[in-house]
Amino acid sequence: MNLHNEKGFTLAEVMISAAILGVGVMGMAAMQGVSFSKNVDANDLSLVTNVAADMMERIQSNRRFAWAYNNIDTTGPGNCLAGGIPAPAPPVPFFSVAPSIPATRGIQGDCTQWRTLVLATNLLNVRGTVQAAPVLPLRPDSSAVQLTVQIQWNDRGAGQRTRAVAFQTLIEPE
Amino acid sequence: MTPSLKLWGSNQRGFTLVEIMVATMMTAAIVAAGFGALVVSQKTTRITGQVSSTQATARNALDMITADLKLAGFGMRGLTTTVGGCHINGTPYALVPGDNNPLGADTGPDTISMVVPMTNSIAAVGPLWQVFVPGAPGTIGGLQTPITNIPMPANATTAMGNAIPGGGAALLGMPVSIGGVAGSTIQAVSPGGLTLNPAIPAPTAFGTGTQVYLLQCITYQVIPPPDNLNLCQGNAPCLVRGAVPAGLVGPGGPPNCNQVNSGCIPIMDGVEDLQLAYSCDGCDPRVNSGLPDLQPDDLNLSNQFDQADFITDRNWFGTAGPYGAFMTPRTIRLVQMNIVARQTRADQGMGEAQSIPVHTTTFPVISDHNHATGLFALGDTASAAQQSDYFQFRRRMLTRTIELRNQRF
Repeated sequence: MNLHNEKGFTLAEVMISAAILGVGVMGMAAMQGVSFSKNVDANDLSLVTNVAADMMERIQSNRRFAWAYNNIDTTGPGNCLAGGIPAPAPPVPFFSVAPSIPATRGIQGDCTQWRTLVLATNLLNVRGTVQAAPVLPLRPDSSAVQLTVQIQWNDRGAGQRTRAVAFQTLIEPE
Repeated sequence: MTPSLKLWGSNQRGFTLVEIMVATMMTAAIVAAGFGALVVSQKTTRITGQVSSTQATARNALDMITADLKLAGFGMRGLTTTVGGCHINGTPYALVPGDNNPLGADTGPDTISMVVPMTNSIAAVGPLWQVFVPGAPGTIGGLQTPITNIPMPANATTAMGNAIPGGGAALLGMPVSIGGVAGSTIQAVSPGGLTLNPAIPAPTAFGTGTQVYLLQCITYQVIPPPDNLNLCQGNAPCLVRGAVPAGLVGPGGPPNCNQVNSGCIPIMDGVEDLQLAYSCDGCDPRVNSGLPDLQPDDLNLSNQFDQADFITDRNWFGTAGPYGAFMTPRTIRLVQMNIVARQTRADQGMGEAQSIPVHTTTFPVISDHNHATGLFALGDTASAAQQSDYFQFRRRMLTRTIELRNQRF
């Protein structure tokens, strides 16, 4: 009697199961894409980290004038030349010496060369900024600044998510 | 018999040919898709691994050289002799740049040598390797007393001998620095400490616990294939690091790792190019009369600090040149370093052995080195075969500007 109840799969059933399996296989394929794009992200990240470290080193090297790097922004034509950089000195009693002509050129040159490096990463909407805020309370015997070098960009994924890397340090010139 | 046969036979049904064929085709399609996914996944895994290790190579090489550059010159104060091969025509320098082609654009990687404290042995026997004077006053030297001996804890010199290449005998003649501020050379080693020659002049005094540093001249160099001396241990090109013995450093040139007994060891496989550019202060007599003003000198007189103010071509061993005796390595303030890393082996994934992958068709230009004119030597990327070899590697390039913090010499 039970022989009469023996049934195979219908074509529709098999097709549905194939479709489900197909979705799974597609998912696996998509995972490859994700892993690849993460790899590209990692490369972008190391490029950007390196560029940020470059600016950090330049400011460390010229730390007497760390405050003069405030508000560097590579957007558009950049603000590396007179009027933008060197930035106005923080108000007294913050200790600062006006940069000489060669020092001004040095600061502007750091900014211009860094802007070139930032743009050379070729990242989407890449933008580098530097903030150099005097450490409070202001004192006549100190020109310590809190330094933040930040780079932001849009990643290469479909969502073009905004990414940012920021380095912070405290600089206390001798 | 017959009725029963009929009963069984009439109710039994197999698959029709059409059903079997449809089912087979679907199975085949599914298996093919699955296998395709597997192949792709294997390739991506392989490539992802190669790409990320290439990225790590570039980053690590950059970080290692950066760490040493920041230390370059530490401990040279008070030292009257050269450290290893770090000298230019006999004059000691903390930094010895080796440009691939001082006359113009490079056709190969640069080298760099620098004086650094031997940090690995400090890690091994650091707490022992200190000034040690039991009881009052606990110091060596003083207002009227030049320092000729460094007393150390028991077993300090034996332990150091075990920690450094060459053993205890290698300590003789090594430059040494007390606390990084007073330097001399080891004349004799005893279980209780070191004898120095020349004496560290008075008035200086150091208390118990002051760290003593051995100094060495470290060279970084890219070793190209074919690596006949097997410095890269079969993985050329690679970046090597080591203290080339002073006897192997000829006059008129920087220390060279690519020779027998150089003592250089591979630290990073897949590093293909190292390019260095230097910005200096007080090196150009036309800028501020050649006096240091704490700012990079405007070498091209453009009235701004730009990329051209970084020197890429110079024969540091000759006194000729536009800036003659002004431009010495001691005027260098910033080092701009470019590192190129490539995959340690070409892609040989499924089916890729037959079709050589080409990742790009443009030669990169790194600082003053255009890879189109030669990667390791002039013309080694000229022929079509050489170019196809060149382009089957993925590359990663990183640039960083580094301040020399301890550069005083």
